[in-house]
Amino acid sequence: MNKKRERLEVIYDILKIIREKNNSIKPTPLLRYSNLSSQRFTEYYSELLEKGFVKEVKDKKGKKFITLADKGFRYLEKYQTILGFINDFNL
Amino acid sequence: MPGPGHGFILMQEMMQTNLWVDAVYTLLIILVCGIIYIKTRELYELTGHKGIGYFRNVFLFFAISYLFNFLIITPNNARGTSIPNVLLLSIFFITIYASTIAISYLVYSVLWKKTHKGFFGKQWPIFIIAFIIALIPVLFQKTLLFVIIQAALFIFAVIMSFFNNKRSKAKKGFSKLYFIYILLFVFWILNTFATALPPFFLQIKVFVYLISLILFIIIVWGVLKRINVKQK
Repeated sequence: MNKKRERLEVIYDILKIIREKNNSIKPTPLLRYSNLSSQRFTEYYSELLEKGFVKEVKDKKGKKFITLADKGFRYLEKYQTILGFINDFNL
Repeated sequence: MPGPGHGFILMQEMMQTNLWVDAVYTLLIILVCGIIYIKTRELYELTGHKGIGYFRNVFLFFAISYLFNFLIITPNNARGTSIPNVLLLSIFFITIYASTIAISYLVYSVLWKKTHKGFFGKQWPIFIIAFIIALIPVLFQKTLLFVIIQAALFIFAVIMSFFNNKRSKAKKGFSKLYFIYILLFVFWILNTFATALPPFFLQIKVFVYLISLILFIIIVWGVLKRINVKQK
């Protein structure tokens, strides 16, 4: 419907993928599952990191994993309410 | 038999009652606006959605407007403490300034999706236009002009939100932006009418205030109902 809605949906999809992968996924599979171009994924990922929706952790071998932060869980939890609010009020 | 000062005392009592009624009403409106602003905070913080941001700002600036209005009609004032003219004019200016910003955010909330890259993508024009509109009654004592401008902004926002709604696929029901904006417009008309009422029309004023409060409570109820909806 509009660009903003798409953006909210993309964020939801990325966060949902992380949660479904036991809250731990490497960047490359996340890019693949998200169905985004590399450039768009990088933009969204940077935004999610910067705004505290996700965080990066390293395992003992130094490999990077992405996990959801509290804000990310909250977003997933509130997503339907957010969409309903925006749709109902035509915002 | 009542003495010559009896009428004066009665008038003073009436003025004080009026001020108290105004004060209580103003505080209730601030409270209701505050509830909407606080309850929508999380949705805005999670999404940074401009439409939600503008919608919240409507109520934030209405609350600020009423807060300054409250400063004019403070209970101290009811006891006869006079406020210096300059201060009174400044508070009057801020009250109009904040209410014009609130109404401008109504317009923004219905137009931002269409023109978010141009004029409506920036918020500074709101503050400049509101500043100019608020200066008119202060500098030229032309109160009617700012009332007409605010009414025009309101009507424009209501009409635009109505057409937005017609085009959208939103489900039928109460939760419609245009319905909320119509209620706000009626609320604004009632309040403008109440402001112009002389003190001896206290009963009419109380009646108008009660209707206004009911309208605002309906708005809060609609917003809270949508926010607190159970997740599937």
